[in-house]
Amino acid sequence: MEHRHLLPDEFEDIIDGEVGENTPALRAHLDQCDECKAELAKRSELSTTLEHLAHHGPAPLFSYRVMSQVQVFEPWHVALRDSVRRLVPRTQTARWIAGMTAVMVATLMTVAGIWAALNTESAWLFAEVGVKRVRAGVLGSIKGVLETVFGRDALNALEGTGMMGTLIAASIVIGVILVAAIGFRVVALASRRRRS
Amino acid sequence: MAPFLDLVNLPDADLVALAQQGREAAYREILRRYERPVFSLIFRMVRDRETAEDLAQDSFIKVLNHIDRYRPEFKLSSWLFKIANNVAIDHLRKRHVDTISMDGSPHARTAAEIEATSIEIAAKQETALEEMENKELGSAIERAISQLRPEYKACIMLRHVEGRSYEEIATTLDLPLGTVKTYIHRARHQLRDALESTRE
Repeated sequence: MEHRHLLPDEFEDIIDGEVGENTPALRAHLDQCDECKAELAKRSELSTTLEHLAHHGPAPLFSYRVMSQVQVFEPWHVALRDSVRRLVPRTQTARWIAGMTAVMVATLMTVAGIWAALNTESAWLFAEVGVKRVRAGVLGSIKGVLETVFGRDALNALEGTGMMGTLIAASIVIGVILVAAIGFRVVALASRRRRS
Repeated sequence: MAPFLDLVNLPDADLVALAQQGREAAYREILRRYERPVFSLIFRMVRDRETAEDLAQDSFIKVLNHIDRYRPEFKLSSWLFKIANNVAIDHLRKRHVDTISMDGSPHARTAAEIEATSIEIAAKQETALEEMENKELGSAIERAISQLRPEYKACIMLRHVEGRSYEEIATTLDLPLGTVKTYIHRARHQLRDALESTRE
């Protein structure tokens, strides 16, 4: 026999599949030496046994218990991306229609922008008319609400007092709302304390 | 990324990336994938099911609550096993410190004082749970593993049960490569001796 018997660490290296400079010589010896072959088989038995050891499992509610203590954090950019994605239609056709609509709107807005830049005076006039209409609409709605809540007479009286009277009336209404909100909160807290 | 991904077949790195984006399903998949290996490692180290569950739970909570700190150059499993091993070793160390002498206080000077401070342990009856655990870890090989030092146990489990390379084990356990090799060889030697003595 050309080679000595294997040392304990050399057996371990062979079992682990470690390849070194003298591995071919060790393998050649193993092919010829029954004693070393038997020793290797004996040592390999343990590795086989260990490799067949089962994984033990935790209790069924383990993952639930863990997840109840884990804080899943969603970064703002992911939340934003998801929100945008939700707006994108699912089907190809719907996406195509939405895309075409977006292109048309963008084109119209660009044309309007260019026209406004070239005709500043006309654009300014249109803007002024638009603002006036919006203002008139908002004031009309507020008056309608006030008339419904306080009646026509109260509205006439308020209009008679001018700007100062309107401001005082608005302050009184806001004050009443705040006092009512605080009152409700106090009652709710007292009720919760009683229950707990 | 689409919410309809097949998480089961996703590599660990992609799964972590999804978890870092706040996908709860990715957290659950990490947990599903590793709850058994992590629990097994800890259970074999501490040999108590309830403690092992608590420690495995702590390990997962640490990992999942700090998933943003994960460095992709490491394997997720290595990071998990590293934390699980550290948690188990800390517990074993603490338990060792907490062990109370049954022979009475070391400060007792008289026989009466020694008797007064000593602890009497009643004949312990095995509970159903303990009986089950002993059966679970009752095979000759499991008994032999239980006799190993904790660091040998961790190395041998990672090598043979989890199929990790020596390099991975060294990274996972923060040990030099040579030390890992020595631990595994010694552990195998002890296991063979223990199994042979069982057969005799």
